[in-house]
Amino acid sequence: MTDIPGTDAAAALRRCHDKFAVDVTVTGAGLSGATVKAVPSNRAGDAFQGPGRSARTIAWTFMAADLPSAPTRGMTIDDGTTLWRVVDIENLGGSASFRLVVEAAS
Amino acid sequence: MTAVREQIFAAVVAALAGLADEVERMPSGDMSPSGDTALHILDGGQQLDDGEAGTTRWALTVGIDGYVRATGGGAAAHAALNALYVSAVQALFAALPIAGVSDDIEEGPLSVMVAPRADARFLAFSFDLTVFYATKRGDPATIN
Repeated sequence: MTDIPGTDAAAALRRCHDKFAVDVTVTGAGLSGATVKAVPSNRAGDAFQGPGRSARTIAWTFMAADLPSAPTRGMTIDDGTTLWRVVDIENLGGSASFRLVVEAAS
Repeated sequence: MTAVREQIFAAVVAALAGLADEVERMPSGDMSPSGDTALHILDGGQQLDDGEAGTTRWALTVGIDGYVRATGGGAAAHAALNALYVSAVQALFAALPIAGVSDDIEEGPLSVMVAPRADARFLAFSFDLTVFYATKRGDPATIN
């Protein structure tokens, strides 16, 4: 995919994103209750006190083009089941997308 | 014969029962994802404290780990952690020393941790309790 030039690459990235994304309701980053497509991830959290690793890290990846302004900590993402609050922001691919690590807000 | 140290751990578990969603001795995994609080009791071994003719006096280390998961952010989780810590220490000091078994207990340093980037605010504390008891020399099941 890296040899796809210019607008084709952007279109391919968009199709790829939309393929794996689900609709979520976002408040923050210039949005107020807007529905946006985001790709979920759920993986083992960092090592923590104790014999096991029960902590999970959940993140949502957004296309930067879908967010009017840069995401901030505290913005919320509602996936229809859980209301999440952003606690950590990763900037991917030169701001083409943001991976937002969340925690349960309620 | 029941080891004296077993009597002490049984008393610790009994004292902490009901204070958290999960109270487990020597756990091999972390708390259930469904629970909000957990207390883990860990055997930290024992060291010779003192001895005289026919008697061995031990300093037994009881490790207490507490876990709190909360959705109200750092302040709510930290307040819940401190509340769990207080209830655990109060219960332990009310139950120990056990009359006729252990003669003294001491609380050790407390450490507090935050799980980084967890799916809910997740804090833990850990402290050691030292329980002193004496047995007949060569017989860990007989109090002396």
